[in-house]
Amino acid sequence: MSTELRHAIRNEMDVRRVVLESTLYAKEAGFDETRSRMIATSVSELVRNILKYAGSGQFRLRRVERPGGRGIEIEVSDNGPGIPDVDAAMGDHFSSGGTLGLGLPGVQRMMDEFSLESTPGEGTRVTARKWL
Amino acid sequence: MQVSRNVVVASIQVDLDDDVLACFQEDLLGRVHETSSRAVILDVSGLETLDSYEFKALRRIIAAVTILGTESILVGLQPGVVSALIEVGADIDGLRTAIDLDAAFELLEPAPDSEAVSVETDSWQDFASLASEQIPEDER
Repeated sequence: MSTELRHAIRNEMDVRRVVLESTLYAKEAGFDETRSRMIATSVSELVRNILKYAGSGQFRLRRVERPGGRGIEIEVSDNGPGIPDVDAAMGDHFSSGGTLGLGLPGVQRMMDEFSLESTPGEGTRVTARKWL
Repeated sequence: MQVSRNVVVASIQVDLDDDVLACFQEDLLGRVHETSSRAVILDVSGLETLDSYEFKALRRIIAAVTILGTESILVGLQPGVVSALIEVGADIDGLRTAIDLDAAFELLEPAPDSEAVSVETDSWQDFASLASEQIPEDER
């Protein structure tokens, strides 16, 4: 298989396709069923944010290595409006109904490493890794 | 979508986008209303993933069915889907679930005395016209 998955995100079909492909990719990379679904769900949250807030963007999934371990890395980027208040977007407000609906805290919990760069007016880039 | 023992059983097989969901909700509500079903069983065992957005959409459908006066049971959530839902902090308050269809029907017992109506079909849209012919008037 190719070492990485790349896909432009423009519509709902793209979302479904990358979610499905991510599940298979994670399994082939050695993740078990449950963890593969968590990775695919993270991908789903992230690419749906692109569609919802930026209209279109880029998705990439690749294998990564570090001393003593292997894993995979999700990267999504867009040139959308950016996130004005990153702290608020990363906060949990489930019960109050005040959630921003970005699903980012969930992605952070499902993955091992998470980073977010966002510049209002320029776009957003999220990188998340999970180790085997 | 099937009607069995006065319960609507709807299977959600593919990940749902807004248009499909709106259509599905309309069909489901219509079906529940015309058959006066006492419950809806939503079978989601075919779903590989369920993100927070899709989960909220599912909850909206369940809320709509509740407002109609009928309860809903979610059936067949995969373990990996459940783990992810917990991590994304999905609001599971008041959600009724069952591990499979049999368990869901057990939750709903005792069933009223009515003949089971069940037709195998790939398309529940085709079934809609079939079923309305097969359910006797007095069971609605």
